[in-house]
Amino acid sequence: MSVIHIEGLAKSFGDNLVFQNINVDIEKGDCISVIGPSGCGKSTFLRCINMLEPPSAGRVFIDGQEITAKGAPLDQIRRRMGMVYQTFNLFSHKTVLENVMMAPMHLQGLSKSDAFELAMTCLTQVGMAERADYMPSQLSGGQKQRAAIARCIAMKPEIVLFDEPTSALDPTMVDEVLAVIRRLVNRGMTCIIVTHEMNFARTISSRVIYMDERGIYEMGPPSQIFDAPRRERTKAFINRLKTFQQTITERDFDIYGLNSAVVEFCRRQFASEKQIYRVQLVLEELLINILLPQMRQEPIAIDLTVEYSMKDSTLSVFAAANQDFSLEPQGEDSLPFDMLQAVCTDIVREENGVRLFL
Amino acid sequence: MALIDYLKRSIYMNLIYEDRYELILSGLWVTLLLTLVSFVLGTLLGMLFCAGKGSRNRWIRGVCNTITALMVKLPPLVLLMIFAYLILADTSFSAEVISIITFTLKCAAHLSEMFRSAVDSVAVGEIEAARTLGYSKWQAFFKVVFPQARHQVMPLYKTQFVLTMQDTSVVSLLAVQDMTRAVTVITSRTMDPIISLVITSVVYLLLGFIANRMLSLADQNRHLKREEVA
Repeated sequence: MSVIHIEGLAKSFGDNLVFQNINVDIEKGDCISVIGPSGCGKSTFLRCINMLEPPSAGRVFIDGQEITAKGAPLDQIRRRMGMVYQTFNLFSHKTVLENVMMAPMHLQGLSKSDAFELAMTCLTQVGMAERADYMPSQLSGGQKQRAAIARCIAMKPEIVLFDEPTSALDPTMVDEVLAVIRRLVNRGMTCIIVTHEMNFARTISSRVIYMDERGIYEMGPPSQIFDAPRRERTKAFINRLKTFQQTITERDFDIYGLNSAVVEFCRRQFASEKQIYRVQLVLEELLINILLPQMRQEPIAIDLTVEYSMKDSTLSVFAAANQDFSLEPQGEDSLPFDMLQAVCTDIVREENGVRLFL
Repeated sequence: MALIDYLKRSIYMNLIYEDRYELILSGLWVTLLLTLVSFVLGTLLGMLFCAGKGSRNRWIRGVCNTITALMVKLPPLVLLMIFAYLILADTSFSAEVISIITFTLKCAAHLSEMFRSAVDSVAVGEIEAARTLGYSKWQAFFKVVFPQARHQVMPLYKTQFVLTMQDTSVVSLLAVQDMTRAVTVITSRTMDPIISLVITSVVYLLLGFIANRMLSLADQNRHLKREEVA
């Protein structure tokens, strides 16, 4: 019997249909990632599963018990199903330790010392034992989220629902939270994760749900969804490129400003540090040492595009100039050209432009 | 010398002659009684109004909002007259009871506004988090919302105590012998207001300080520390 059985689930707010006809079975130990464009109802779907939002139609069974039924023991069923929020939602008037101890004491009748033991075990699991006496306001985003996960697992749930657990975090804190989630999943916790972290979804999930067009658009193992999506919109979503564009029209443009804008763009896509280093190198050599010296007429214009592919996590740089240029060394100084050759995996000449793959 | 003689005489005339200090003491007692009873009942009724304003039934909401608007916007003296000469005129309630009813309602109206905004200030996400852990609606209210709202409302709540105490000073209108009335009576006999006014002011001040101190004690939040449990 599946742990979660969903049939014909639909939700609309007034006339606005969010999704309909969702049918899924989730087995024990499954880790399901839910991905899709923003506003497609991923979070609402998750909130319908534990009745934070009552669905408009359809039924949800947890361990064979219908949670959507009228008069179902909601509070009892929810104790078996934890939820982790984008905004952490720690109880702000309680310390980390109290946050974790509260529910087991109030709801499961644990004594103070038992609850303490349990809380410290959970906090150790998420690496937050050191900070047990801190108030939530004294923690960083990543620490808050780990404390929230500890609070959730202290109830020993069978299922954990993650609602974009890393979306509100600085890029530097995403990894610590993902590592904690990964550990939970590896221990066999049944999880549903709504996420924008494609690499994480790919490595961790047993199945991926792509939501679009008011429902589940495509569902399958990560290898299918990420490497060989079958349907149109999934393909477009998975292969979509993230781009950074800028046009350079001055000879003495701000190369450092440009560089830091590109770095920020790359960080947001979670490009590796190596890629970020290389892209800066390439931009500087290409623009300052190769293109600008060769462009003798005024006005000048260079259209620069940096692209990040979500599919294979690769970066490429495309530059188009309004004048002819060559990628062969013109004089004695061949260093910039050698540098490009060494750093790029491929260099393709296009009409009045060049595409460099990193 | 003249000053000391004056003070001696003044204290004698204002406090001791005809046992006038008893007038001030019994006035203090009446003021305390009116304030405490109105404030305690007002707190309870304020909670009720606060709940009513959050009700899904729009009739309940409407009634609570109307009462609040009237009680908040009318001055205490006018309210007292309305209750004494109109609404409760034909009843056999004593002047003290009518005063208590008036000030309880006025206090409740002010407090319900404060309570409402304090409750609303608690993040919805925290309530949801409690619900998903398995807390019932009531448990979530008492364990998560109430402690935070209580802390939030405390500074205003203390002020309201003092305000209610000040409101009660208009009861002399109904010939209730409170502290303010005692001063009026004594002064009209002695034609020398200084001593009794100073004493009364000091007593009002002290009452305010003591009440604030006690309410602060009620708001102290003790956290469980790791070493204590371990």
